[in-house]
Amino acid sequence: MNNTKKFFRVILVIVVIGILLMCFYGIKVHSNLKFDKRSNMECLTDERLFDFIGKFSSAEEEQLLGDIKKLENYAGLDIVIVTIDNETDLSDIGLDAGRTYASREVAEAFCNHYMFGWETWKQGGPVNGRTPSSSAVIVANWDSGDAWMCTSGKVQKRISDNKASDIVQDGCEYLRSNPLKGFETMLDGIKHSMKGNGHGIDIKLIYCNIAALIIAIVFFFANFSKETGQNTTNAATYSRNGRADVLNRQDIFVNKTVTSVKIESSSGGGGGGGHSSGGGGGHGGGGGHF
Amino acid sequence: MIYRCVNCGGNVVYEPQVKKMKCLSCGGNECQEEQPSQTPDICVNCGAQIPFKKFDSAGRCPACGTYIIRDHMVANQYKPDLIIPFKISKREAENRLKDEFGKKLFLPGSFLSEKTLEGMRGVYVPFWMYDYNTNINYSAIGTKVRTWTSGNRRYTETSYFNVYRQIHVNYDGIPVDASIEMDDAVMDLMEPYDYGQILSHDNKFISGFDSETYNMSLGELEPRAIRKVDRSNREWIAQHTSGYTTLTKENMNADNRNVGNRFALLPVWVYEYRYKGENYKFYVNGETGKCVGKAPRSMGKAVGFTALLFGSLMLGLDGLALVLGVL
Ligand SMILES: [Zn+2]
Ligand SMILES: [Zn+2]
Repeated sequence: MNNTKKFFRVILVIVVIGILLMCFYGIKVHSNLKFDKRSNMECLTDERLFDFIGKFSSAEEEQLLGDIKKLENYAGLDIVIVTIDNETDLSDIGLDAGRTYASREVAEAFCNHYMFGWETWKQGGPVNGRTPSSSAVIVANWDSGDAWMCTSGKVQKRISDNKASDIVQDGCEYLRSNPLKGFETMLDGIKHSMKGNGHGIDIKLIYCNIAALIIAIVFFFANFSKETGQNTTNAATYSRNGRADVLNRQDIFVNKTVTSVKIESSSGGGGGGGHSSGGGGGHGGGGGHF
Repeated sequence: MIYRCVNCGGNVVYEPQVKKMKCLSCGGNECQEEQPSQTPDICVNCGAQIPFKKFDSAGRCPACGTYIIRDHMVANQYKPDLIIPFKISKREAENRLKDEFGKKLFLPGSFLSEKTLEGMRGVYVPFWMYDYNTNINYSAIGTKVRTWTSGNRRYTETSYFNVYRQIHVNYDGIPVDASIEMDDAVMDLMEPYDYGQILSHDNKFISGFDSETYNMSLGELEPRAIRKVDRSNREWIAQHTSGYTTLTKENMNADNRNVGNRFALLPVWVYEYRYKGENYKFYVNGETGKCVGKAPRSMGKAVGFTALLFGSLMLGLDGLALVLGVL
């Protein structure tokens, strides 16, 4: 019966650790999300949604803007969403009308031109003499299927370029079929990432729960198994002196056969490729395809 | 008959811990005298009718608790040749059971509780023991396989042998339980007993316990003995042909000559536990302490404990993942 006590002690320890971790998490998130009041006086626009190619109904637009506002108040950053195609005229933000730009270039141009950001733009930075502050500008080009999120300031610190790519790619899954859902997914990704400070290890909770379930199942069957006694006798048990006498032993060689097979040489597979794109011009970010 | 104390008239029984007869009333040692029954199955002490079953040779009077030995079931053709007296006391047997089965998490609460352990019985189980003088003739085609690599080819060389063995074994005391009530497989698992402790039968050893005489004859049970011998024969052959990769066209001819038999009583503690309408039986070898049985499980506990573990693990692991994510 002692084992029952042991079991409950283990449970108690796990629960206490779990509660402490949860509390620590709450405190950490609270401190990570602390931000100063918006003080960017140089931002040239209040618009947050540049739907150049009309992907949203007015109701959807309202919903998306509402969610952007919520997230801005939650995490302290400016969020801008831009939909374009190859024909979109972007001369307003200083891009040549006749040329096609990658989403990344468009996003960075948006950031620099409108000077998005939460905190004050400081003098002496790399972009037009200013350091970009906290913002995430997402551009999706429906012709090329190319999407990019340009990050800067606090956002760039907390969302690594790899993570930015993941967030954008998660949203890209839906962009074609449901643009609203696609961007909302990206907003969720930003919200989640802004809770950390950029150095954490992202483990999906579902994996933790699956691990817990597997351990629980193993525990169940390990303890549910019925066992009886083992057979502890063998031939020697009832044999006098525990032995048998070999009176005659013959091993007469008859013949032998030799066969051979060619050894198939297996060639090793090559290493996997991969690409990473670093942010330039003082911005970070990551892209995806849809 | 009963063993009565010459000092106080109490019931004297065999005490495994001290290996002596002990009076249950005054605690005296080796103070017994035999008091035969006047009428079969009537308690010598209180005159109550005792509901013995057909093969019972000893038991307890339900009225006064005196340990009774049925005179006619331990005499003449029923007189055992040998006995291994109980060596493990009831208390020790309980501890063995607790060690073996009590550690499981999903046991029902009342399992192995003091109250249910009260009903644990010490039983002398009737066994026939068979001796064999065995000669085995064995032949087979054996192969030995060797592989090696040369250049870009792998070579396999198979050598064939005519294998022949003649083996002689003396088997002493192959035990087969002669009780219908005792499950054969369970009794086989009770083995082995240490025959070093076996004694000529004396009725005093069964005072204080339940006992049965053989339910089946020596001849009826010999096929089970032969099966055990055959299994051992095959094991000996396997041991003495172990160098071969395969053995085919095996031909084994064993001459098992029965050269001796004995009727013996071997000690077993039996603990019965009822749970949710099912009977669970546990057996402890009264000489060696080996335990056999299947522990019952409380489904409620199994599900509850597992859910508890799952929940707490989720809390712990999720907490860990969340903290790692925001560090
Ligand atoms: Zn006495
Ligand atoms: Zn009585």
